[in-house]
Amino acid sequence: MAKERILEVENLTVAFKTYGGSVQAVRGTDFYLDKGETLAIVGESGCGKTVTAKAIMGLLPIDNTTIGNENSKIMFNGRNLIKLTEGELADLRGKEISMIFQDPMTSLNPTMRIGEQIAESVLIHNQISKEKAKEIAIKMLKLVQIPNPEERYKQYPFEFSGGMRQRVMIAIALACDPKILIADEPTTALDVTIQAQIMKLINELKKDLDTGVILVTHDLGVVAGAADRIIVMYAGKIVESGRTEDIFYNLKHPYTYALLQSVPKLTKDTSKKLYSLQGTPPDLIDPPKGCGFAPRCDFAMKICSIKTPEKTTFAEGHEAYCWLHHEKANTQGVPELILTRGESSGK
Amino acid sequence: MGRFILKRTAYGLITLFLIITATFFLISAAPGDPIAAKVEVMPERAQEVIRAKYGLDQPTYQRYFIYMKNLITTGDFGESVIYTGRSVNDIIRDNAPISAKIGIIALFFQITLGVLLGMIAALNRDKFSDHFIRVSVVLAICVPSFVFAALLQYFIGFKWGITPIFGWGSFKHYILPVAVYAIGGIASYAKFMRNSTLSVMNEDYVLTARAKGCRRARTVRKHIFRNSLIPIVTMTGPAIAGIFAGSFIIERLFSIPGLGQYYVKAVSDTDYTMVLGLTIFFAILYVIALILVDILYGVVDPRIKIAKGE
Amino acid sequence: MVTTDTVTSNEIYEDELFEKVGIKKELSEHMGRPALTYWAEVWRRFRKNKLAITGLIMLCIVTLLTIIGPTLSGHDYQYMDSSIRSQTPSASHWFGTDRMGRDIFTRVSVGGRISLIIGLLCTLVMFTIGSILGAIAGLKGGWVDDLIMRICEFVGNLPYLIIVVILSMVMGRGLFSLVFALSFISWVGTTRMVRGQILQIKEQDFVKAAAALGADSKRIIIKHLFPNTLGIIMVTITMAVPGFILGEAFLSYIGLGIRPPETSWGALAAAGQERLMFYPHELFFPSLMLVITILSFHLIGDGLSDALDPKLKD
Repeated sequence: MAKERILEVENLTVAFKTYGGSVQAVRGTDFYLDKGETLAIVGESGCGKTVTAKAIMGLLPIDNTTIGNENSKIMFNGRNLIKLTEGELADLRGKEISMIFQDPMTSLNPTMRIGEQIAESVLIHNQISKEKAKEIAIKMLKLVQIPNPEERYKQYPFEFSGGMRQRVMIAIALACDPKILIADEPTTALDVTIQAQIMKLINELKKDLDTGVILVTHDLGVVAGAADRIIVMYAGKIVESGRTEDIFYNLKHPYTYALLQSVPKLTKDTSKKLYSLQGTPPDLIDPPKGCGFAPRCDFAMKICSIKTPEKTTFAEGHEAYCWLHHEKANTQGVPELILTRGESSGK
Repeated sequence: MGRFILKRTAYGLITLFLIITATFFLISAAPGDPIAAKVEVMPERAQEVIRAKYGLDQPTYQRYFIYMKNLITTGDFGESVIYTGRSVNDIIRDNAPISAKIGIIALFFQITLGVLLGMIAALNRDKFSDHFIRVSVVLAICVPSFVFAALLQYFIGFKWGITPIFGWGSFKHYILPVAVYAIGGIASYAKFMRNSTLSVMNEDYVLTARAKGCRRARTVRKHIFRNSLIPIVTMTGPAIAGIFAGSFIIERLFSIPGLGQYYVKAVSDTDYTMVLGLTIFFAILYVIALILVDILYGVVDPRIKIAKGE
Repeated sequence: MVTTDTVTSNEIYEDELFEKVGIKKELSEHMGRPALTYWAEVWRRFRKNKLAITGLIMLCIVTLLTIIGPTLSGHDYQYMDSSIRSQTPSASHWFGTDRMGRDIFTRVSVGGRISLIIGLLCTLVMFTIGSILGAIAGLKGGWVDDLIMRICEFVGNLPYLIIVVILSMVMGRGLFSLVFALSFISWVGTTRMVRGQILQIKEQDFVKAAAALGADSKRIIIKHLFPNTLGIIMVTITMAVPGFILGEAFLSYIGLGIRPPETSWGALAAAGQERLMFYPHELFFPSLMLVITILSFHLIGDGLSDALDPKLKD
């Protein structure tokens, strides 16, 4: 089944200028997105996942940010988004690529009617009348399952609950039927019961509209039911990527292992303490040599903090960057799961 | 909304009542009794008329009731004790329009220019125009209006002869007083608008607007502008209300026959009844302005309209 | 292309490189920059702000001038010499003389005392009333809080200048009457601020916990109130002083300022204003002092609030 590739990111870098120096928030990531699939980008806060998402949208602050170098590409529809002007990007945003954000309470304009905020997106990108835009907006409200859409159209954000507002955000994002929806922690700020509803809605709409979704989250629980593929990021780099089942059941990187260990499971022996990862991610003003995770890794070797690990491919599309998979690696005490070799390349 | 206005008006009336009462008794308690002193030197017949009208031979609280009755039933603010026969109402009728004209024109420039400059500074943050506006704002806030007036009078009026130095009459007479009046306000509006715009620009909904494809001009017009205006409206209340108070010094400096100058004159003449009457008049305007601004606030910010309308 | 071989296995790595080292605590729990105490950090940022330091220096010079000015000039601020009326600045009279032949430099120095004292006293009164009422409202809560907030709302809705005029008209023109008139209804902002701070501290978990355990939470609140609020208080005070100095000048202009022979910058400027066209120096010097002083307070206040809250800067 040949899938249509709609987004291809190569060697993406993002650096912010700050008082302390240049923060290397994203340090060369490669990934792609196929039509209609859900790709999850997972990692701790500060690992560069949100920055990656905003870089695709061209939503990072312009003055103090450097996106990409001469080898970097964000290819969409045959165009390199890094090279586009702000105006060209604005035309794409909301029409071809949309984004919803973490906190629905603050993401809607408090002085603009809900309906107008949805209709605005339609009006910007299409040559249609206001009445037609209003019709589409009401249709979108219906689509995201908001009752009494005609009434609700005229209301203001403060008259909506958090979950309702996130539905409105989704309606705004999908109003122009985009090819890609980027959801940045879409459920983090919501109650647990609402979280499930919103994820269900995103999944259903994705199937109906055949939209590609990039789901940015730190919550592996959210990812499990929703994602087709997962990218695990750490300290601005991808440490492992693969299909969801690869990542959950056949993981190959100690960081992924640590992440999964720290998720509570119903089946687990409750007498055991929940695993918690020690320490904090490295300072990206002065990014570490070698593997960013080395200082916190139980299985770190000398080489880990000297050289950046090479890519090892295990199954189709399942890759990890870790020295443990080198033939000389000291694997004493390393869980069997991580070590099991799939087909390795280059050896 | 109706209920809110009603409640606000009732509250305003109580405020007014308290101001009038306090002012009346304060002034009655003032050292010396110019009212009585003045009446003593009047012709016998005039004395009787005044006494009958204001009950001057009666104790203070009796006079208070008489004054309140006159004020409420006939809108009589009282009569000057210095210039016999001149009622406060006449003074207001003849001179209030002049103060109002200057004040309103100045307020117009304050708000429009202030908001505009504040927006420009915020949108060009840390660029030349921002630095320029910010430095000018600090200077304008730190130079007292009388110093600014003196500078303009000395150079524009006296040295270069572009405008009259003081006086009232032609269009040219407006220029200096309005400029002096407006400058401080422009600066504070610009300062507040800059801060408010900067904080709105950091709001998530501005990011949402960009994410849906709004270009910069549209983002500013539709999403930033109205939200940054909300705190500005609160500032406008006291400003509108202060139109007359602001005229005290300016009308004196430029010899403009407005209400402010009369008020200052009444104060220095210890024309207590005139001060009382004008104070009450100012207080009424002030309270009305505050109510109007509260309503305006509801129009700009839908959250308040609904919340208070319930 | 996902499976492209990117491994550069041609390189040979020494075996010892693969020696196990495990978690490096010292690297994984870095604390960033060495932590200065809060106030040291504030002071460091304030010192780096050239404008604020300029303001501080200018204010010190002005204050010093008001103290030693008369000694420096060797003139008496009340001494009239009809032979030297309305002279422009010269070697013996640095700022010139006024229409009574008095030395303006000496008068500006002495007037500055009154202006600065009024500014500081009014701020002190404002602050004292404001924090007492605010503390009562915040700590007591209930109907006391309601009552104080109602009073605040009422007083906050009064026309300030007019109340000041009426009060000073009734009270007279002495120093303390002026301070009373200017600060009488000025405390609303401080009351609200202190009350807000107390409520905020009350909401913090450790105070709630202490209260739940039956501890005297008021003591805890007061103890935490001061350090938490000190910054805002300092900014409020710096920004309030110039307002009161201007207020006194305003009263002088409408003839309600300090009673002669005492004088203030406002009174001097008001006197100078009348003779502006012919003797501009009489207005220039007191005005200059006013502008420098107000500007200094503004620069210091801005510098302080930037230093206290660096978030606002970036």
